[in-house]
Amino acid sequence: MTTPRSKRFTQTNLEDYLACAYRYWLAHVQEVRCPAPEVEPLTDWEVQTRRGSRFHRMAEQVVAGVRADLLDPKDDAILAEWWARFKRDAMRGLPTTRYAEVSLSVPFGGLRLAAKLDLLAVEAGKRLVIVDYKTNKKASPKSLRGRLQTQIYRYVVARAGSAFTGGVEVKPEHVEMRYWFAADERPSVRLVYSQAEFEADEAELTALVERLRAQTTFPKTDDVSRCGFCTYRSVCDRGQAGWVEEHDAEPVVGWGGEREGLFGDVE
Amino acid sequence: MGQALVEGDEMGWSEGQTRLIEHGRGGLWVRGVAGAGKTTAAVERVRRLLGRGVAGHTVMICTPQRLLSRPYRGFVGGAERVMGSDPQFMTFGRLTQYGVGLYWPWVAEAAGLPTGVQPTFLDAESAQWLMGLVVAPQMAQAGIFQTVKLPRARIYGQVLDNMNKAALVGFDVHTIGERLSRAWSGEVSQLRMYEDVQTAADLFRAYCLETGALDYSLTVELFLRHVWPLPAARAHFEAMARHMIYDNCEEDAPAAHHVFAELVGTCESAVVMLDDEANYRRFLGADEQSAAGVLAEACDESLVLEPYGDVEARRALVGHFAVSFGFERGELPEADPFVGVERLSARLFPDMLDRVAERVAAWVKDDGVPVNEIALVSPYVSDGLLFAMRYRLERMGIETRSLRPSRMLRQEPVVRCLVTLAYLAHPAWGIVPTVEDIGHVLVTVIEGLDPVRAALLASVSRKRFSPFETLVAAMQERVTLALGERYERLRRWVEAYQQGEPIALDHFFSRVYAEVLSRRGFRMHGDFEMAQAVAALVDSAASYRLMMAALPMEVDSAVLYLEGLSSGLLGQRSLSEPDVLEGAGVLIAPAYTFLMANQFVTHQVWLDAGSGGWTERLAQPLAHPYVLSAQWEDGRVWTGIDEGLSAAQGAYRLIAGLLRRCRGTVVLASSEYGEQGMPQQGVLLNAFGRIVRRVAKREGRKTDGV
Ligand code: SF4
Repeated sequence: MTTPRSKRFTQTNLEDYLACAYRYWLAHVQEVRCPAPEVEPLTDWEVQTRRGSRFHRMAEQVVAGVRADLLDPKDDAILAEWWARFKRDAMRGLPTTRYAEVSLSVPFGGLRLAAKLDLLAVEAGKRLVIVDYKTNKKASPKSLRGRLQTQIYRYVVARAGSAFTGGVEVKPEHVEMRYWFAADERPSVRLVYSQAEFEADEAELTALVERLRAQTTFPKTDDVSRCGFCTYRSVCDRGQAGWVEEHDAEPVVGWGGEREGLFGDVE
Repeated sequence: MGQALVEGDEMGWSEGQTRLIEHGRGGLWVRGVAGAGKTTAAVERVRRLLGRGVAGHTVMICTPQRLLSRPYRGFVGGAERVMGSDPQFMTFGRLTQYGVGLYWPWVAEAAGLPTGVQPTFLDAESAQWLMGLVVAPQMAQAGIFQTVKLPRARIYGQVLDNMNKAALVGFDVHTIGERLSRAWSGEVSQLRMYEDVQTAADLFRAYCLETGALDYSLTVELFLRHVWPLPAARAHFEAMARHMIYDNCEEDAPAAHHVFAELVGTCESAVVMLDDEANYRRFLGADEQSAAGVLAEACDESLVLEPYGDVEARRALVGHFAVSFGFERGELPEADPFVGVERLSARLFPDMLDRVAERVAAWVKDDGVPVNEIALVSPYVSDGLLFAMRYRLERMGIETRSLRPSRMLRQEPVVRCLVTLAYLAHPAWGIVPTVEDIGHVLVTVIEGLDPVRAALLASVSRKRFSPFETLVAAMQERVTLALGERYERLRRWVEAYQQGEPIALDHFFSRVYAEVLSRRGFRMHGDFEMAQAVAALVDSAASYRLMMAALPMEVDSAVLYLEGLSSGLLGQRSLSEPDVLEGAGVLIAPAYTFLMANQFVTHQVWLDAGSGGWTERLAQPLAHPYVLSAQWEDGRVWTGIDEGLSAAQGAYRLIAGLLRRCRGTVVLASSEYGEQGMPQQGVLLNAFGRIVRRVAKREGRKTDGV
């Protein structure tokens, strides 16, 4: 088997594939978990991911109807700063029909191509704005357009977004991706989609998935700089953990308690 | 008899299934025994709903536990589904935690909980652990639970079970002890235990309210009281459930039934399904009568599905078992109930396992039956039984897989090893590992080191890691320089660690793994199975640390964690069940777990059919699944007749459930002496014997007994 065990192509597994075929194979085909530190210092990384994850949950609460000021964090000054910024302009100019933590997918390359969005703001027949909150300083606005995340999210929403428009057709021109930065005062990056980009993305993603499917071996990357933020370093004998300031991963959102409870599991 | 097929339906759906698939607006209440094709039809319904343009995020698929949603997840995750948003999978546990987390500011304020802090959701293990910390002083001072001869984990587990039932059934958590006492008619000393149960529950609840630690019972209460009535919350959940599928509702408790019934009342369409003669999770509060009342009432139409492709003989055997367990079934079917039934008996337990292995090998090798089509089930699957069965089958080249709810982390050799290393690296904790423990570390981690040399190294290091160079030359030679160098790498790492500030325990495990143990020259290098065990340990220690950090507890978290781990109160590692089910191999599983995974196979072996475990209720001296249920009339006394009836009903349902999930042969395998060497006098075999005699009598034959 060469395809992800989850039967989904996602930003994460395709990015891993592009970074290192072996990492992709270990993480997504074999689903091997390696308990090594992802980055150092571990404590800073933990604080950063927990803060990011809490921020994403708070944003979800607002969409679910909780007043933003009720959520003002009193125990974390940095988060409080992010939250003040969120209240000021994260939702500015967005259509008022909003969905948080949206999962969309389309059949693709024999499996599904999936996107999990922080927020989708919809004005049927006119605009579908995908909002992605960036909570680390590393993400550079320039690199965002060429990012696999941008490609996959806009493509998937262009194809499957009518689930949120009551069936009204979605054209690529209706789709916009907006990166919003919590950790500093950078303005949002807005990337409006087009038919030409849609076609180019489809061709590129198809070629990528075909390449992946045709692969019979999964070699380690030659570029050792990619190993810095990889938990499989010890498996591959590839040096020490990278530093948290250079890492640009975003936290995974959840309500905690991932393990099964006494009655009924909590997923 | 299966139902008539709808003419022209090329998929072969029965009339009833077609109704389920094509059901329009409002709620449809569906019942039928396992194998009636309810779930298969419901998956098809989801396919058609999405196919005709219903938005996935407005379809909610509810099941009592994640495992039961597997057929739906298979379809939803597959490429044949149309593009769109994904349906929502929901369990009542998830709904309550999600709801309380989402609307926390309002919940905290309304419930008088500490505002300004994040809720700390406790899983079962953390709740047990915390209860231990809260109750322990009372155990010492006031002597509570002094008369209970049970491991602490089971005491706390049963108190929590009772608290969960209070929330799920809807009675006051402060009345658990009274309710249990009112139903008790035996020894007076038991009443003291019930008082202690109430004391522990009260103490724990007070602690949770004070700190914002939310165990399952409190989460459910908060959800029902403060989230569900919120208009914003209700609108949010209703938007997620415009179309609903609720499968196996009999395995949920009344609180879930009430909440889901209200959603049925507001959605565009709902199909609610109940498995007859199941209710296997009764000990967790599952209540089929509540389901049949509340949910059937909420639906507009109803439907009964008959077993699909059911064999007459299997039906006959189920009917005979019903009679044998004392449940009248009217006229018994004429068909021979023993078609597809084999008996396999041996004198000793290991001989039985040998014979079972031979039978399985014949299916696989002679008849070409795929390994995944065979299940070996038993009331309990001990480590010994699992190992012995696996060994026999794997020696014959037959793959196996096991489905057990949880495994203790402390049983993993790698975990033991990391715990010893933690003690060695933190001498300030004052716990000195034994020579044996150090030997175990060395042999487990150092590639190429055998037990003899590991023991030698451990003994000379005198409970501390001594430098290799300090060993006498003859000793160094015996160990070899190459292995000595590996030993040194580990020793130097520990020494360097001791020079710095101690770090969080999970970080310690992660670092020593990454920097030494998974490197070349060590056994964990490239061993992914060991990596999974270490990852589970890191997760467990991390979630424990974060929980403790969120609570006002002045305790040394790391040492306490290690104590909890070694006592088994902490570190119950969840197996990823869906993965096991997707793997290849003969399935070895406890009978109830097999039923709750809703697996259908060609052949089953009932291991240890002579064991009393087939009919015994789970021993819970501090709890009571019947007395603390919505169906119990408060104040009535639980009698021996009730006990007998509930045991017989449980046994019958277990057996019927297994038979309905077997398409080919059922082998009843037993030995005169059980796993522990005791003579076996099981009720299951007696019931089977009565069937043999009854059939023989009907046919005018004599029997030699069974
Ligand atoms: S450590 Fe480097 S080579 Fe190994 S999997 Fe990670 S990225 Fe690939």
